[in-house]
Amino acid sequence: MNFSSKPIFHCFGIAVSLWAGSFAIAQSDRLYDTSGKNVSGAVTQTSAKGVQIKRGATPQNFLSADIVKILYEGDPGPLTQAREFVIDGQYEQALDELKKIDPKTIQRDVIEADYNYYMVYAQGKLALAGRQPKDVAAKNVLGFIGKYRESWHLFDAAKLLGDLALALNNPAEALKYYKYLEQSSSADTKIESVYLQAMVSVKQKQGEAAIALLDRVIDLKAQTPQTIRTQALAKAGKAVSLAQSGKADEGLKLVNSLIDELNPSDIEMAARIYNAQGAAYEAIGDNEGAVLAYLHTHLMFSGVPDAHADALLRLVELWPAVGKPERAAEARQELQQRYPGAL
Amino acid sequence: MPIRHAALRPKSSGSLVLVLMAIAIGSAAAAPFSGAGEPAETFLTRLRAANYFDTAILYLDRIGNYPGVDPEFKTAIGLEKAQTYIDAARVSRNSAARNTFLEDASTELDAFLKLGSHPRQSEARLKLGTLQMFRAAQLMVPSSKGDAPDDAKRKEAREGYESAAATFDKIVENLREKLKEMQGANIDAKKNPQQATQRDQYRGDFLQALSMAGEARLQAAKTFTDPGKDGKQGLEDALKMFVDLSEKYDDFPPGAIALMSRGVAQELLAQKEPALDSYIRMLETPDIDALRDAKFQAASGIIRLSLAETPPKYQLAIDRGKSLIDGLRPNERRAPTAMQLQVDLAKAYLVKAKDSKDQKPADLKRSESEGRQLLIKASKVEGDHVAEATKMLADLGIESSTEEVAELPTAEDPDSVDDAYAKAIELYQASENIAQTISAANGKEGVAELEKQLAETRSIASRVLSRGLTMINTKTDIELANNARQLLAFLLYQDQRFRDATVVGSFLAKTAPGSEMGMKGGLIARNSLQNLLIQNTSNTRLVSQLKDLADYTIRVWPDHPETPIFQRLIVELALQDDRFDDARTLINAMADSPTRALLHRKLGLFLYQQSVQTRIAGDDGASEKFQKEAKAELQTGLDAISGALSDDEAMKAALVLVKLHLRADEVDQATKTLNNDKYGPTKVAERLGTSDEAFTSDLYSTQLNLLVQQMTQPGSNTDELIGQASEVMDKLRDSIKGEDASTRLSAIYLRMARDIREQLDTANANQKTKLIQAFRVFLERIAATTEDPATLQWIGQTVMQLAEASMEPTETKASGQAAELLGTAVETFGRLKAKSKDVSLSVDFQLGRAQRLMGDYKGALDTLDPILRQKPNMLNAQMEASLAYEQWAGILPPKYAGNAYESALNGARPDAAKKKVIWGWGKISQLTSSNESFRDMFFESRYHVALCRFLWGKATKETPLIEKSVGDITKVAALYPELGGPEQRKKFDQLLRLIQKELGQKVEGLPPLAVPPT
Repeated sequence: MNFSSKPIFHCFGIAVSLWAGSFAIAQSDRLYDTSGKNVSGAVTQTSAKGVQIKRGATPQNFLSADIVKILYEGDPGPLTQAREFVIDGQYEQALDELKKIDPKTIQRDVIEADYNYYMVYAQGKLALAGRQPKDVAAKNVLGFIGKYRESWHLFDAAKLLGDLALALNNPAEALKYYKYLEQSSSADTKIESVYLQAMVSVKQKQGEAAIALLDRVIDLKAQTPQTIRTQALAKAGKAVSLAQSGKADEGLKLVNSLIDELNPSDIEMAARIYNAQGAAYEAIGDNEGAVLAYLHTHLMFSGVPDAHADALLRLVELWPAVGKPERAAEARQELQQRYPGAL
Repeated sequence: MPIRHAALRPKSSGSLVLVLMAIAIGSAAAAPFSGAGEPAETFLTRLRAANYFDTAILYLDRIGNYPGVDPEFKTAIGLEKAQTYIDAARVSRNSAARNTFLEDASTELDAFLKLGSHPRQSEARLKLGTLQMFRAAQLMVPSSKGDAPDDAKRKEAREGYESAAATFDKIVENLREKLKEMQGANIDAKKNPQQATQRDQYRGDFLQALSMAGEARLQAAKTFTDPGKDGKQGLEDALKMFVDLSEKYDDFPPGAIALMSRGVAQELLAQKEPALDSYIRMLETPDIDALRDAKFQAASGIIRLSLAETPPKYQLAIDRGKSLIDGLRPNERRAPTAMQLQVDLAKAYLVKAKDSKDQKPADLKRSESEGRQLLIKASKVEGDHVAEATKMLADLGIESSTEEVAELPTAEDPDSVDDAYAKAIELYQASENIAQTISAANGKEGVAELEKQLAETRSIASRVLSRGLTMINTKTDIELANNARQLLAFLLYQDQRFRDATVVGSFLAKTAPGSEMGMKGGLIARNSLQNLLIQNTSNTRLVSQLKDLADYTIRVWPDHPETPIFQRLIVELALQDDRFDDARTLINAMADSPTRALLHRKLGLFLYQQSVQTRIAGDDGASEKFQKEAKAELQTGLDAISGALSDDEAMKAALVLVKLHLRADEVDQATKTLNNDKYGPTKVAERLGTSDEAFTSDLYSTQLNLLVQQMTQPGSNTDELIGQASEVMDKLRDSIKGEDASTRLSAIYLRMARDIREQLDTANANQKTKLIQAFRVFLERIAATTEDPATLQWIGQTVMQLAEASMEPTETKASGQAAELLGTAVETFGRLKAKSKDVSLSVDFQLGRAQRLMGDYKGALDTLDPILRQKPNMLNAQMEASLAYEQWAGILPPKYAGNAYESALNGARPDAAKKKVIWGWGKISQLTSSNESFRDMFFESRYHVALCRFLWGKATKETPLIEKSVGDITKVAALYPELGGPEQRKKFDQLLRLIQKELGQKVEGLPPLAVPPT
């Protein structure tokens, strides 16, 4: 009889993790940056702008924008899992993991901040996808920002708050939070701030204002992959604005240039580009083209909840226009199931 | 027994063919994204998978509109359309529509093949051949009433298969030629990667075509009602091809899979031994995804052949089938071939259940149960196997499988340790599933039932394991036994049966000393004991058990990374119980390690706390002793830090050591500790930074104290020290940021001022005078150079504290140094008020208090009046105002004193609504009497009620007033005999004696407190 030894390791893992948090002596944290490298040491200082990590006597500073995640010594097991789920966009699973944690057992302030951040972030993202109340999520994110002023997640939290404000149809608030990102020490984040402010105008169909801001981003001499990415997103946004301003052909041309250089593994980018293509096709009355564009997002890039919900919403309206009302019903059903607050 | 051909025939729609179709003409699995540009291939695959076939065709028609599409993909649009039509046909339930789709597919394929030399030509032919097979298989599908196809349909199907075979043969011949040519060309993959890729594609297509050519013949033979007889030639041709494939190309999936097809052909030709050999060889091929399906079919073949033996060889059948079913992967749990195997395996169990020879009744029952469970599980998955499974269940007397629940092992006695462990693992996994379901249910309905089920499952697992463990003997595999013990310990732990978990875990630790497994047992025991101790911290038996476990662990695993944790636990238990000497002994017995250093520091902090508590309790001797011990432990713990590994904790411990040195007037040691390169708080804070505002203020406050103390040292350079102090103040101010920085800074300054006062209170008289002088110089210098409101406030508050510290307890009006200090305070508060109209009420309060202490009672009342109009409930201001009236009365001529005492007692300064703004002691005592948190204020105000009335009566020579003041004391003493504590009681007692003396009564004071019964 050859039974898997996995359950035993599982047992052991659980047993050991029960007390691991209480006995952290010399901290050994590990920071993963956006270049794919990781550094171990003790996280000695955190602020909205970044993190200092020390190994031996040498401190190293990282800007918040350059950090992917930090694994802290003493992390409760479910927090480690939840962090990965959040990074992977699996917010419900992340919340399931976080619910297993008794916050009172958390020993370090940085871990407490991380725990609360991932909690409000996952809730916020689900809210954006219509799967949790947006106002409650916004309140929670605001609570996080108020309490953990020294968290390196602060700008991400502000961005999320902006997204939520926008989703709650409160563009003025959204602008406020997006503007806050300008205070970051990272040029990438400052540029993203302009892009996000522009997207508020896109959402409000203020074509000229949006294009003016987006051009500011597009015309920059990009120096980092992040900025290049933001520029591509800005172009997608501009394509939508052009379509809104009666220049759909120009928008379509712009979006096709993006598709020509598309990196399909960047699903957020791809989803926004195809939604922009959909908007451009709709503007010129090509419903079949629009359906195909939104189907790209629906069938290939559904991991971006807000963009996926947008695409489904459009499909609900467009399928009947191409003679497939039953598929509109399917799209509606999917929308209701996956994003109950989106309709 | 003849081979049961029926079992080999397609059950309904030709499942074998469909399986092969999935290989040959099924849409490719979602193609991975590759390169930039429109991801046409992937999107098309997704459209097909979503059954949006018409949209997929539309997309292919519009493909020219999309930038960046692979040019090769664009040239194969016809082939892609054909694939789309084939997929549409496959899912279509309408036979007319299906035929239309198949015709469209044929048209597209024909058109594509006419294009000539496209690299995907052989792929297109393969699709065409498989399309022919698919159409043939359609003809063999039983009618909706379940009738088997008639002879005409069988013939038509056979012809379809034969056409397909011809198509595949053509592909084989064509590719054989091409591959020969390529072989002659000696293609170098490095130099000519494209040609090498093409060659690999041809090889793959060649093998696929060869395999399908054999399969088409096999299926053609199976269109006969007796394939072995009427289709013998076809079977033999197929067999020849499968043998060729399986012998020459068994390194490739089609070659390996041919082993299974070879077995089927041999089985149909009644070649039992060779068929069994082929099936077994199939099972022995590598365990890769591409071969899994063929393995399931081969295992089914083995079961058929084994059960067809006389007597049936059911054990061979079970052995071969069970391992595959047990190892089913999540994506295989609904696979038709796997489900068929499950049904076949059930047959083997049921045959076994009927063989009563050499088997106990319990074994027979278990076999039947296994068979039944397999059938129930299989019947819940849709597919061709369901009809057979349902029929078999009906034969067992189970009419509706949906009502049956798959059974888990029961609490029956296990056969062996092995058996017990296996069952427990199964139960454990089931319990984990239930736990996950509970978690997902998130408190919804049904959770209670699930929780009950969870507890029961865990309980059964524990019972089964417990019984299994009693069967351990000398032949038992030790690893298995220990695994079982560990699982039992963990299950008990999960079940919160901590005592039992402790026993099993400890036993495991002791039976597997020095091993990792033993340590796991020790950890479970340790965690269990900790849980028990949480419930009952003073249980000496548990503490003793934990200590024994720790001692054992330390002895057996001296170098294990978990060992110091055990030691630390014991020390922490001792510290929680204030057994400082025990803790010290334990720590000193530990080997040098970061944990030991940490524990020295921890002990030091506990001792420091103890010194504070004993000082508050008035036991200065004990306090001093604890301080000394704390210093020693903290110093040892800090010195033992290796390298530059000091962290937040060490920094905080070092700061406490600095404070201890300051209290002992050890300025040099305090300075050295504060600035120690390794652990000095100033140095560590510079290195690591501090995010804890309370600690930051504590650090700067201590630094300031130290600098001021340094100023008291002979020969100190006051200017330099003041310069340093100014820098510290700047740092503190800079460290507090944010919108409410000034409020938070004010709170920190207030805390610092109180710290200084506390230090002064504990200093001896000589040191106190020197310190006050030093502080005064320091504060005046800072005050002269700053306009910062928060700093001015801090100076005012600190000077106030210095003044009060330099007054004698009985003094009501400051004089000398204290008066000078108060003058500075009043001036500072005045400057603050002049700078801003928006100063906080606490500044006005402090100013009023300073004025009172200086004897400017009118000024004090005028300052306090507006505060109380704005905030009547500010109790400390109310008390301050009442005290101002009381003390003012004391210096007024008798004719005015009465009014002042009355105001102190009954309040004064009515507002527009005739309500008194200043409440007086009477109202204060009334309002504070019912609130426990104001108890000190209540007794203080009651004391002043009595005092005021007595002094009022004395000043106005009104004896009734004096007599009444007796009642003020005795009434409250009757209600609260302890009168708020010994000090307060002493004050009441002294006042009563004074009153009694004034009245000419016997001076008895308060009656003694009743001694509580012992």
